[in-house]
Amino acid sequence: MPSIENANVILQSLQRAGIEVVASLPDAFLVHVIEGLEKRNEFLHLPVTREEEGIGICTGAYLGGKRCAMVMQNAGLLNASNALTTTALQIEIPMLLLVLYAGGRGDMSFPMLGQVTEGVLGALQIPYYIPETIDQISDLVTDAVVQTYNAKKPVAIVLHKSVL
Amino acid sequence: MLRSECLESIVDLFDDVPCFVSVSRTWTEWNDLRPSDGNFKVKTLGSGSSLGLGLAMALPHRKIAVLDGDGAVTMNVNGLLTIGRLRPSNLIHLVFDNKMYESSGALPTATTYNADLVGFAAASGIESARRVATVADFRSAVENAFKTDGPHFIVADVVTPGKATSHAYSRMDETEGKFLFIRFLEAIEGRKIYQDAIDVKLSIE
Repeated sequence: MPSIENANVILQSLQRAGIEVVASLPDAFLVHVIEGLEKRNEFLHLPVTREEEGIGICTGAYLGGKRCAMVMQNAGLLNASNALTTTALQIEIPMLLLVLYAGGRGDMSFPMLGQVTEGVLGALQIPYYIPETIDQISDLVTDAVVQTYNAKKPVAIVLHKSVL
Repeated sequence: MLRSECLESIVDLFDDVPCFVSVSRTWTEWNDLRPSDGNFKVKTLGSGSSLGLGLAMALPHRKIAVLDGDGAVTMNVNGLLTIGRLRPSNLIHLVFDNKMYESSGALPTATTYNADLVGFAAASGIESARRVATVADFRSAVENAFKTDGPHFIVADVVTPGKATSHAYSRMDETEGKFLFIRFLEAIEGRKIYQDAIDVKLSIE
């Protein structure tokens, strides 16, 4: 089950990287992260009802100077693919995508979703990283946030349930 | 009433107002009436409300406008649910309801049949949701939206004159449009907004 301790590592990593606005949609394994986003004053947390909204919200907040992230399950990544393509990638908007890897290694839910996830990220030409342990998160978030601005496109960190 | 009449009636209220404008004829009509770097062209159908919400949360002291159509709103009704939950007081969402996908072949949208966008917005928690049928009422509703806390959701019943068209070529490069929009915000805010990768790198210890 997801731990509050690991969620706190993720939240501190986002804070360290200067992330200010986070749109989210829940997954059971993201619950502590999302509760932390809501509780911590450092973040402007915007819970959405479908992930494609989050890409629009992050883009709008970015235009206003905010550093943004979207927290979601990989099913949401698929839901968000059009907005990622026709807005974020088309006009070069930086944002961090934190994606829970349902159907990934060691997880028996949504096997088809798990199989297509990396292929979708590859087709969208979104750089992505998959940490093996929670210890890698902090540096990975920092590097990904710099890269999203440097490459001027979304960058994803895909989280196996085992790191939560 | 015509959408163009509605737009003409409010253009003087929009001096320094950032606007997210749905593609197609709403964009071309508005951009002709109010040529400004503060017009952001929304290409992902329906995402105007989400873009507007994001900017409204980033600049909470400033009114932000969304110029939308019924096809776009029905594509992303989720946006109304989130606006109704977060209730940004500075967001003004204008919807020109011509009951068709005007730029995609003039086929009917759900509002031709039984869908009521005002009812949906109100049921989502957007208290200031209303429908207007005359240009005078539209102007008055928009004036009120600038003077009072929102979020405001104003649906204008409009008809499309003649044959709907789908060409609406625009020479604006959208990536350039993004930079121009950010520079517009910097000018009205009087501060640096754009961060490049070096700014971001140096800001992280």
